[in-house]
Amino acid sequence: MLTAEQDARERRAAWAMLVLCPLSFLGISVFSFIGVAPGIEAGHDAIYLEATCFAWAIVSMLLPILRLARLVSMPPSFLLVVYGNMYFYVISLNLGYYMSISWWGDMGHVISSTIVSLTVFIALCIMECHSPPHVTFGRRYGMVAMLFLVALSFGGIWEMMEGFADFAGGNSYMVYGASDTMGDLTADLLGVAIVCICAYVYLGKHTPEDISSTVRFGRAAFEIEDR
Amino acid sequence: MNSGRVVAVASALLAVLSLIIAWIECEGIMAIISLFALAFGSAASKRCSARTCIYIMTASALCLVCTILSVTVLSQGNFLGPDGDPSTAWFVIIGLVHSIPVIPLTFSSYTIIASVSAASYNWAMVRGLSPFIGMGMEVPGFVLEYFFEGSDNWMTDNGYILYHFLMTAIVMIVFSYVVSEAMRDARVIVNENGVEVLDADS
Repeated sequence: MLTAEQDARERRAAWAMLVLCPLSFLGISVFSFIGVAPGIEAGHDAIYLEATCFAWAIVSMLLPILRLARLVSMPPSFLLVVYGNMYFYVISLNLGYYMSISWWGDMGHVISSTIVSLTVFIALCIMECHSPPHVTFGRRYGMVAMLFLVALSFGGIWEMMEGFADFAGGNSYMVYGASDTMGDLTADLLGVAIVCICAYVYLGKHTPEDISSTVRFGRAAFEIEDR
Repeated sequence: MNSGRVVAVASALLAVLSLIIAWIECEGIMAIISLFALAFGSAASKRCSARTCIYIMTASALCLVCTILSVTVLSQGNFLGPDGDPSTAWFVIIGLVHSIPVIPLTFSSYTIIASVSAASYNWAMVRGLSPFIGMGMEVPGFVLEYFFEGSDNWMTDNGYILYHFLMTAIVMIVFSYVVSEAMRDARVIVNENGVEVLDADS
């Protein structure tokens, strides 16, 4: 159950994110629009930089909208990591780091992969806590084994999405060749492995309920407790 | 040695044979799938009954068959187009062939993980997680193929990767629906005792 003060605080934060995050991404896109973004000189198409900023402006609105609609609430620490990665990607893309620093893309991919794996871990913890009594992921290595297998797939799903985006657009905006794809998949594998190790250690002293209780899902979870 | 351990060890041996052939022929995806079969077969030898081990035995046998097919009849050299590159049809065919052993391997991952960690999966979990598990098992395979072939080889062409993942996704979605419907109709779960019928009041 939620207190009124907690609800008000979260709603203020959600409104701030809903307004400031998309505005900041659109503000970054101005630099590529006027042709001064270092990423253009590094080799990216201006339209690609602008489309990226616009897309992430839209994506950044999702979680605040879900919170204001009283449907989903994520822990502040998770939001910090997710939005930090969004800004890391967009800013460094516009600065041209993905072209000028050979390992930058791989490092970014490892970070993104850890976030995806964390999301999968949270989802599995929620499933564990909300499933019928006869359904469980079992002891911690059972949970981590399932986390490893499921989280790995998202690397492949992402590459499929990139491939289809290029196929639909008729260009190579998102795929930079086979070596880039393979580097991405290797980075995904590394990110998943890092989160699996951390999850195994975490579950040694905690339970999936500790994770699940920090996530609110569904209108019933947002009911305000009466004083 | 009980019958379960015998079957599990036999499946591990088949997986080792498949792994060796795949490694020698630089067939990265089948090497990784064989490695998963070997890992699950080894885990199954600790606790699983012969009846439960039938799934990993099936997976290992299919691994060996599909590895042999991949490096002989269905090798890329038999499907070259006029430009000397493998055809898109080959991408689709080999993607399907590589997905075949992933089907029993995915189901055996449920039985074996459940047996060693006291997990219990119902039809909804199987339906929701199977496509991801199947596709996830192939991701390390592409990484291995990259190291086998290098970035300049067609094997790591993005079209190959795309069609391969697509075929696996389709196969696993169909599998997850069929198996989960069968589990729901039969009111069974997969737990540490294998496939078990739920009590009437569950």
